[in-house]
Amino acid sequence: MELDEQQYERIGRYLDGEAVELSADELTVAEQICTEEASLGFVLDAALPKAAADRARRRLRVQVLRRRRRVWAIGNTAIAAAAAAVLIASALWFQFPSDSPPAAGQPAGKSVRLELPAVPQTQTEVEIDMLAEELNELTEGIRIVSAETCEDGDLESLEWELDNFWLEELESFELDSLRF
Amino acid sequence: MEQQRLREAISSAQAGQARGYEALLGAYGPRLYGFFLRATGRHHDAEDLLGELTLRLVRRLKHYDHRGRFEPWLFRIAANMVRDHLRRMRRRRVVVSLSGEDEFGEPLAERVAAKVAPVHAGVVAGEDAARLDEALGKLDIATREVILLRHFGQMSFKEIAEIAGSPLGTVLARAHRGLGELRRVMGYNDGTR
Repeated sequence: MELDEQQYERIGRYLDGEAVELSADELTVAEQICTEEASLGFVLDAALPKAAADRARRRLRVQVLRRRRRVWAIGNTAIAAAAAAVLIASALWFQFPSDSPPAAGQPAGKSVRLELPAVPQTQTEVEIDMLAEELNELTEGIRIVSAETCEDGDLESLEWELDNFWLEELESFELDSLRF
Repeated sequence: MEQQRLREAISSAQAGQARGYEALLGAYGPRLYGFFLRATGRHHDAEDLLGELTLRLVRRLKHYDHRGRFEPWLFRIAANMVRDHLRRMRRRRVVVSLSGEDEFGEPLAERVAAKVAPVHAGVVAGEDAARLDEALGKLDIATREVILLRHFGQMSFKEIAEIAGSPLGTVLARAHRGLGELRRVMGYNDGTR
């Protein structure tokens, strides 16, 4: 039975549950499709072998665990970075206080600074160097944390590959021993 | 899977709990495996694809917005994976003639015969499955996809049309033609085999 595209579309909508009025030919094809789908169902079904299901489940657990660890590592790095930023900001604030407006009865910030003895240029440079050094150390610390995370990831990946390798080896061994 | 339990499993998985993912795998694993097996014709490939899908599930589920249609979302991923897999296999396909010889000058046919396990009862019982695989293999990929998504994904024709990126009429025509072809090859008629 030859039907055109529009007729097939109507059959599709009918089979999807829409209230569509079909012609006799269209209804025949719709019923044919239903019957054939029902007959084919039993043949198409395939059981998932238990070993395959177990492997998939184990793989899933490893992946979930790995993802959770990654989230922890990212969280730790973020906390370390935030702590470093706060530390640097406080150090800078104590080193170079802001020109905030004076409280009532107090001299202005700028005038206070002017009253202080002049700081020699060389001493300021030394302090800036010390701050830069601190900053570098903190950055290095963050870098080490990230590197450790990568190593953890690599190790996990190696463990996973090794696990799979032995699994496959064992399976092939079992199959061979059954066969011969 | 009942809607309430499905919603709980999805929420649990989205919260990063293995229990939720396992519930989803338990509910959909067999159907996904069946879909992969019938699409590729190989148990090994089906298992690989199922494993790969679990990894994708872990990566993508957090972006999934549950509105009661989890199956189309899941089987859309599965269908894309099958398409990629078949594309890769087509590129890798190498034809070796059995009338040729191996590197030691031995006929390849003899080497292959030595490696083939003897036929046993299980193989005879599996003739049906082999015939089905052969019949499915004869269908074009798009037609096979419609039939498999319909059966394993339990999807409407409209949803399949969206996944396939084809008009609804075309999808129905493919289903009609494909089912008829399978019936012819498998030798069953009017619901009886």
